[in-house]
Amino acid sequence: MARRTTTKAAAHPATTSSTGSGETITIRMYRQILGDCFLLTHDYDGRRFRALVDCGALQCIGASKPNTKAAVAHIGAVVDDLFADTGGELDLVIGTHEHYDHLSGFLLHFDVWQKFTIKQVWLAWTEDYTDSVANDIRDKKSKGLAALAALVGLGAEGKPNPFALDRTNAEIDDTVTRISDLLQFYGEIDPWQAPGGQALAAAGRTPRVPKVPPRSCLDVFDWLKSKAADGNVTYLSPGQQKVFGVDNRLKASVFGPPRTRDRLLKLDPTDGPTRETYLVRPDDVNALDVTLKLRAAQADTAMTDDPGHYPFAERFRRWEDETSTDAVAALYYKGQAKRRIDGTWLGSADTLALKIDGDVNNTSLALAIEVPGRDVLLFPADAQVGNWLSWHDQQYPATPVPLGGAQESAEQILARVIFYKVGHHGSHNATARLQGLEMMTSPDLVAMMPVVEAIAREQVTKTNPDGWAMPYGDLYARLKDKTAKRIVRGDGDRAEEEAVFAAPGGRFALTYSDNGPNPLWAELTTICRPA
Amino acid sequence: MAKMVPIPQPTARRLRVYAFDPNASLDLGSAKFSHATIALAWSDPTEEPISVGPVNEYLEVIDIDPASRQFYPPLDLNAPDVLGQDGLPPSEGDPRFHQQMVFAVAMKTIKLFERALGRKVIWAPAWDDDEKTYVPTLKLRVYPHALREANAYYSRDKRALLFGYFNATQRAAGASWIFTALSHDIIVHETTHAILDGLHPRYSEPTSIDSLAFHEAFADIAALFSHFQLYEAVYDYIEKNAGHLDQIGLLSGLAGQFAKGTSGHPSLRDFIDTKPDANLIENTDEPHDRGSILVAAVFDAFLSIYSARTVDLLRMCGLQMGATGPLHPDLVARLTGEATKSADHVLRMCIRALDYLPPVDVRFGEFLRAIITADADLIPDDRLNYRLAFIEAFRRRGIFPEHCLSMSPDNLLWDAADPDLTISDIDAEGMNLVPQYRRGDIVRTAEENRRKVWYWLTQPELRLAGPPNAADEQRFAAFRANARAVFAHDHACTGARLTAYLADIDADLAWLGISEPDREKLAADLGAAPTHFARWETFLKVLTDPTRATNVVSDKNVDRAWERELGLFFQRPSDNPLYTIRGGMSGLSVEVASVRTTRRTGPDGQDIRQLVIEITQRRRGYFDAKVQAANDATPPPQGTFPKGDFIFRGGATVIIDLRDNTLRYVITKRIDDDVRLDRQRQHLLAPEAMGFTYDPAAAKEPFAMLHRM
Repeated sequence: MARRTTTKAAAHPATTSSTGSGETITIRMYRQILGDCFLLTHDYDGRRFRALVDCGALQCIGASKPNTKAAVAHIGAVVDDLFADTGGELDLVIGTHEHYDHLSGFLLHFDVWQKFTIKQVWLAWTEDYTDSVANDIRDKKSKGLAALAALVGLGAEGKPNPFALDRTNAEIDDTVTRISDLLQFYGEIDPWQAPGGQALAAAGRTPRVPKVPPRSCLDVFDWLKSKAADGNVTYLSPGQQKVFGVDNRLKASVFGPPRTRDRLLKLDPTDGPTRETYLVRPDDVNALDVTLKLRAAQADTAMTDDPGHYPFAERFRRWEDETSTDAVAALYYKGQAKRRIDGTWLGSADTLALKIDGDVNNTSLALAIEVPGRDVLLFPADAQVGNWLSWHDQQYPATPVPLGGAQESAEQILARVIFYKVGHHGSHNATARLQGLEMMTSPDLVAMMPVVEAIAREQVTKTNPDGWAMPYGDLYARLKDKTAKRIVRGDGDRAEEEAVFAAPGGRFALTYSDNGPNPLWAELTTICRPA
Repeated sequence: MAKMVPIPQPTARRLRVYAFDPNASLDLGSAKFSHATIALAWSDPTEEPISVGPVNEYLEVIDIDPASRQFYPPLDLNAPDVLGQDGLPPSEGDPRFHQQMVFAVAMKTIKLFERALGRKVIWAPAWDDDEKTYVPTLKLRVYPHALREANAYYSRDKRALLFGYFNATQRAAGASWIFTALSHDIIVHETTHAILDGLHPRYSEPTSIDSLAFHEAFADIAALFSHFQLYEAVYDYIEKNAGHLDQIGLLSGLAGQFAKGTSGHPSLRDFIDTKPDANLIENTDEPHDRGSILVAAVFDAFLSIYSARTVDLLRMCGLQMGATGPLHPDLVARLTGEATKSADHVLRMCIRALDYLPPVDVRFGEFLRAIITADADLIPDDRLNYRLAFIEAFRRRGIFPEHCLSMSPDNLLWDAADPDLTISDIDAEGMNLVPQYRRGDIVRTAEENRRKVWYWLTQPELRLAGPPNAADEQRFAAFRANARAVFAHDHACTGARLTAYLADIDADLAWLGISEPDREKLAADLGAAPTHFARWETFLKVLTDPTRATNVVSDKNVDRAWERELGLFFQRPSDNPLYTIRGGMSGLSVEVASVRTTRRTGPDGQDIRQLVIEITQRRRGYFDAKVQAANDATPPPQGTFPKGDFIFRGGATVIIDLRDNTLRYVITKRIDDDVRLDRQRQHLLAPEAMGFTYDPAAAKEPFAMLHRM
């Protein structure tokens, strides 16, 4: 531990230069994680405010992959460092959305987290159990996840069951693997329980009973809520503005997640499905659910099953039989194997898993934090395109105070962004182009990209042999243009980054946790401009 | 012993189906015309007979349901009990009826296209990765219960129609299970995707917001206008609406039960837009939505045509347009006849236009030009102003062709081909233009012709050095024609045959000025070349080299004129070398995508025989314009074949009038059109657009009733 204390003083200009007059903002990104863990520090007048945005890494799931396995302990070092540095006291914790790569630190090192003092918690409105739209979205998601988890269960190997999924079929195996990987983003998945009646939904539901220590990302949110205690948990909706920091000198504008009640209830098909932000279709979940019941029932009770699971009466049923000599069966089983459809029906489950993944990303709490001097730090979490586009649906604040007071558009705010936390680890669909990055016109723009490319590339399936494209080439290239290469990456080359930031003209100073080639974190510090 | 007297064959095989879908048969208003009977040819001597499945010349229905682990018993359409009652009676509960319905409706759609196109329907071939060649698809697979989801699609990969079924979440659907295989509209829609893909395989590439939308629109047009073949339904509708067809209802909407079961809407898409908005198209980029604008335009043209055809009838009955109230049953019958006829004409105009479209990257405006040109070719005198009806309907929806002086019918015709280019020598290729009746033969001759056209097209324009001399010219022409014929065969120019051929032409080669060492080297190179086109290129390389074939002169001007006309390059242009186009040994790769012959008969006995040739070329596209420019300007390192970020294609559809072997039209998409390239790039980069191919799963099945994503 000696290393940390000796290097930190040197590497932390904010600490040393805080003489009372200089007001600084420091953003720390923990490195070498494919996931988000950011510590925001506001120093003013000798006082300090610390806010944590997420704490998680993808690496800890699917532990068979080499890079993944090597990094399991890493997130532990991150949590320890956070504790040591903050003295176990966080003024604010912001949980952006319910995904493992943003929350797994809480799951894996809960013993340390229990010792923390957390004064305030901010979550998106979608995590509010008293919000009926949020509950609808969450119910649909939970039901879908439960069905998908059951499906993966059917695919479990070594089950002597004729109705299990045939993992020797490449198409089936690939699909099930992909679904299984996506499910791991949630931690342990609860079995589906039907929500209470309509009246209950409207009045606000009894919160679920969280598991402690937490076993799922949902449990983490529940724990954070109880940790901060009533009155200190804020659910944020788009258009809201909230002050915080030392003397409330910082102001967060809530960009997303969008509230889409109107759009959810509007069923005009000409709107097109692509325009909805949350669009898991109940049909898809239902279809999968019934199919699973059918296959599960068959497995348990050897063909005595609920006729409601079949489309046709018993006299029309004929089991699949590869040895059949029937002419049509022979046509199917013999030759032209590429034209068979044995696993094609799983495509809808695959799509559903991806869709839920995208939906949850779209529930990302996207914040634009204005610092004294009016510069803006943008934290969009993993917001995907739908979320980004919705930022322009309202003014900030949505309801001016006093009535008729000043409001700003998202475009005006984006024009002042000097720091951008790159969305979704630099993937192709989590930074809007014209309505997003291109509106960030400040010449001072810098970016931090929480990505480890080697690990993203390890996420390989048969149909996607190159793994995930993170960072996505075109976005990365454009980002370099926009920031004059002032980008700090989770797996960045230290010397290169230091050289870029040492060049004159930039607003930010770059420092690292230690002098080694692969430090635990990187920090960007800026001195606030006079108001 | 009694004498055997042959019994006359039945005229048709009748099969019962739901006219729309099972839900329409429950509705009191539509119950009386909810069932229909489709008549297929009893036996066509050129086709394989129907067997159990049903399986026939075009389709193989395979009723496996993998999600439920079922393989439903197949239907034998030749069983006496089935024959005796026009096929199984419509029933949701019997999977064999589902097989019958998908089969009958898909066959009806196929025959509809064949009638309008004047030739047989051929499915898209499959790429054989082991053999590096396309293999023909003789039969399209039909899986009536492939999926348990609210969806149905044509899978290019499996060359199959996959239909799903699902539990309805909405009560309005009137059934607990909904089968897309029982929706007339969905079957026609997906079958049309398959037919169109066979005709224009490159249209499935997301080159612009119009390209996939065109596929959707065309599939919807076929489904929509097939409603008007249902006489009883049209009669009832006209009776109820006092002769008007412009009311939203069963006829103008698609996939009623599917829509009710999923969203609670009366139809999935409805194509009557009372207030067409010329600006809407600018802001619509979901393929089904954008396609709907095109379908609405065609439907609007249909309404104008119907109105033009019936205004006299209404006047004779003393009725004004817009009158309401009950009509005389005779008048209703006459109006129904006109509606049915108008719909048939409109659909045929649309289908005929398919041959007049560019081979790649189609736009809505080009579809309009194709409709107008195809119709003008067949029916020069447009007495009822059908063409104007189309133009007006498209104009009102903001669908304008590019580079067109005005929206008048003459200006919309495709430009006539360059009169200086002749194709008189195409005869020498020995193309097989004898009409074929069996699909297997059609596929085979089309493949042979395709290769012959490729040889004809890729030959450089050559002449002999020195003053012209008729006998020598003739000898040279015969030499070249013979060479093309020899090289076009896969195996005819290898081993002993190659040696024999070279011995045959040795005198000719010497006469052309090729020295003995060069002739020996040519023999060795030809022996080493792996494919017929590699041999051909090796051969051409010597022939076009003035230092080796000293008695031969290349006439670059003719080649350049063809390049200009076809919008692609045989040789790298000197001013802009376009290294992103892949080159072979002697020139640039050019693909003859298809060669097909058509025969059409107009209403006044016009007879048109055409040869339609699609020629394409590919060029590497890059997402970054600077990278593009750099790659265009510099050749890739020797022996490497970079992939680029996407494929950009150009080329032309060449229409030849076979009556007098004249070049009628060359419909071009230029390969060096950087504006079009940039538009494709922007389209692929826009995350909101459908061409969002970064996710391979979403791009895999582009022809779904609803897109999964």
